[in-house]
Amino acid sequence: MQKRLSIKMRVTLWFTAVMIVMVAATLLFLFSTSQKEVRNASAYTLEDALQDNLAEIDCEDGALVFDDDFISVRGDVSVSVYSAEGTFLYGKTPKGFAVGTSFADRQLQTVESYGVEWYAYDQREAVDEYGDIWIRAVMSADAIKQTYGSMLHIAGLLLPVLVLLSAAVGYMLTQRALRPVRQITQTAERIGESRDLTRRIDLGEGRDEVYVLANTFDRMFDRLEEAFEKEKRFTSDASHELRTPTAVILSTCEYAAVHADALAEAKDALASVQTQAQKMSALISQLLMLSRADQGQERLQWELVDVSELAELVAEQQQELAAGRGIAIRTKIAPHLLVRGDETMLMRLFINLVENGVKYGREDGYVQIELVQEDDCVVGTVRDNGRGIAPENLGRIWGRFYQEEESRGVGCGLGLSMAKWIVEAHAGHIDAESVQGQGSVFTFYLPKNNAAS
Amino acid sequence: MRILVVEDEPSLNALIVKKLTMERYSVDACLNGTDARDYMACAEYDVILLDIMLPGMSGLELLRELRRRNDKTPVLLLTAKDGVQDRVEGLDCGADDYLVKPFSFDELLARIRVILRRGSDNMDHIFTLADLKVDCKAHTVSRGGVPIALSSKEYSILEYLVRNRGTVLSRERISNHIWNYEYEGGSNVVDVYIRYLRRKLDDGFSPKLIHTVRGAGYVLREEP
Repeated sequence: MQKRLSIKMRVTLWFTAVMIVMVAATLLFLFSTSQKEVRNASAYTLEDALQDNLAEIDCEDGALVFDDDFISVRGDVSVSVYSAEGTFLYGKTPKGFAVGTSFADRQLQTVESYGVEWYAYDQREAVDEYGDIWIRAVMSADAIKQTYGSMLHIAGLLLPVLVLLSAAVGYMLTQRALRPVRQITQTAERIGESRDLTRRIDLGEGRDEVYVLANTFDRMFDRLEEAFEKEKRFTSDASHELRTPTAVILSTCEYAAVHADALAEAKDALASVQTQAQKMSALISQLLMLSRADQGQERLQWELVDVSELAELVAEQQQELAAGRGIAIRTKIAPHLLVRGDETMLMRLFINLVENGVKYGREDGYVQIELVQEDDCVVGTVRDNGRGIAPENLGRIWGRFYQEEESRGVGCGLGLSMAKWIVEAHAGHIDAESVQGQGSVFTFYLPKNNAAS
Repeated sequence: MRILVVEDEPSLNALIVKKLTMERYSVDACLNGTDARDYMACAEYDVILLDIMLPGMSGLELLRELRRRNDKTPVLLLTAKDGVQDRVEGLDCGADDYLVKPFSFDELLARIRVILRRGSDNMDHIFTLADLKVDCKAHTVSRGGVPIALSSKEYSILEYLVRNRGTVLSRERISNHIWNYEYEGGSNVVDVYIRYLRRKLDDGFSPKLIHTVRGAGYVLREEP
């Protein structure tokens, strides 16, 4: 299988290739035009020289007079004057130039003699009262060619160097930009190997897309860690809570196997085992529901529910159970309040809150259920005059399996946790207030029309 | 009423579950024979829809095992095998009915209703007790001709009570037949629902039909 190049290499190679193409095109362009340019430039230079000197030629008494300002050699250009027949009259031609070169009016000629290249530019002029003369300017082609040649040379040397330089710089920049990617990769590897979800990439404040990526990954790791922690806690809590009923069952069976002589005793033992097993079964169902709620898998059945009626019926039902402790269930319920929600879940909500009030209530005390409408919310309150909750525990009561020490063993501590989940699944929220020794108040808000369905 | 769907093709399985749920049944579903065996051992179902060609255990094997255990839960076989021999074999194994794929859902629902009304002396899907009338196909309830509105769970519980009228049903049994594995009812909840039903069906009507039997459960019947 072909090994893929790293991003750095690919980026650098691509953009070096582009630069090489551009440079080659430029050089080609320069080269092809330089030929022409050289010729044009030369033509202008020669023409200029001719024009200047032409002005210095006069005729006096039938003979040509050349002014002192006539410059035969200016720089590289040599100017010479000939008669119409081609006889040399005045001026200079450069050494090595073939004097017999024919004349061509206003045309740049390239002449080669003795291995040297010359540019010659002729003009046929008419001088007043004299006649026609040829005036010729000559310069060496090599000089100019050399200038252009060196220019091309320098370009040819410099540009490839620049290309290499920018390739190198480009490679380094890309490498620096991508270095964090290594860090990300390494951290993710380490998390995968060691299952240590507390590690973070910690790249620092974002400067570019790679930093944003790293920070996003870190936040994702946060959520993963949280989810795993929740799951571990759930498993350990569940195992813990199931131990007690299991222990009771085992010891009851052990005892009965050895000591139960009469059928009646055996039946008692069986009854006890059954109670414990039922407790475990209820616990397991609630745990499963909460765990599914955790994972967002719980499906609710949405209907329009008359919560006033619901609350009243729950109050009636709970009254029978609370009577055993002398606790009165009181209601102050505004009639016909409707909420969109899952009837069974809302029922559990009320049942759990009232049960909680009864559990922590005082003998001959009360639990009061209130229900009113406030703006577009139904507000429910369950208050009791029981023993209250210590301020330092107030935040923890919503956690799984939280129970105040004195009432351990009654129920299993999932009631409030589930109540909170139910309220939130209906897009509401729930608060608790308490004064130790005086009682507690649980207040929840249910939007009448929740968008969640 | 609680139904177990055993069908190995996932989209058909999901579709059947959805249709049954819309008809107010409580549904558990599994995709292979071994899971089905576990489900059947752990819960009481009112009807089992069983595919014959299953990974794990074949549907007929499952059925035979069920009947050997003396489990009389009604079983409706669903299958693509439509030969006469296959039908005879399926019915002889202990199935209550046999439906060949592809089938119409209306027919499936009608056959389920037939299975459910066996064991009661009802001739069709309308159950009556005194002036209470429960139409199990249209899901409507009335007393003395007055239509009564019930929420979906309230209806499901009433349907279970009326199909088993005269029988005392414990809270647990009611709970098991109304909610499936994904849903934990709980006994307090059943109590509150019975109160709902009493308020809506018994208050203001005579005779009272919903009775509590101390220590045992609830029963729907005319005599107190």
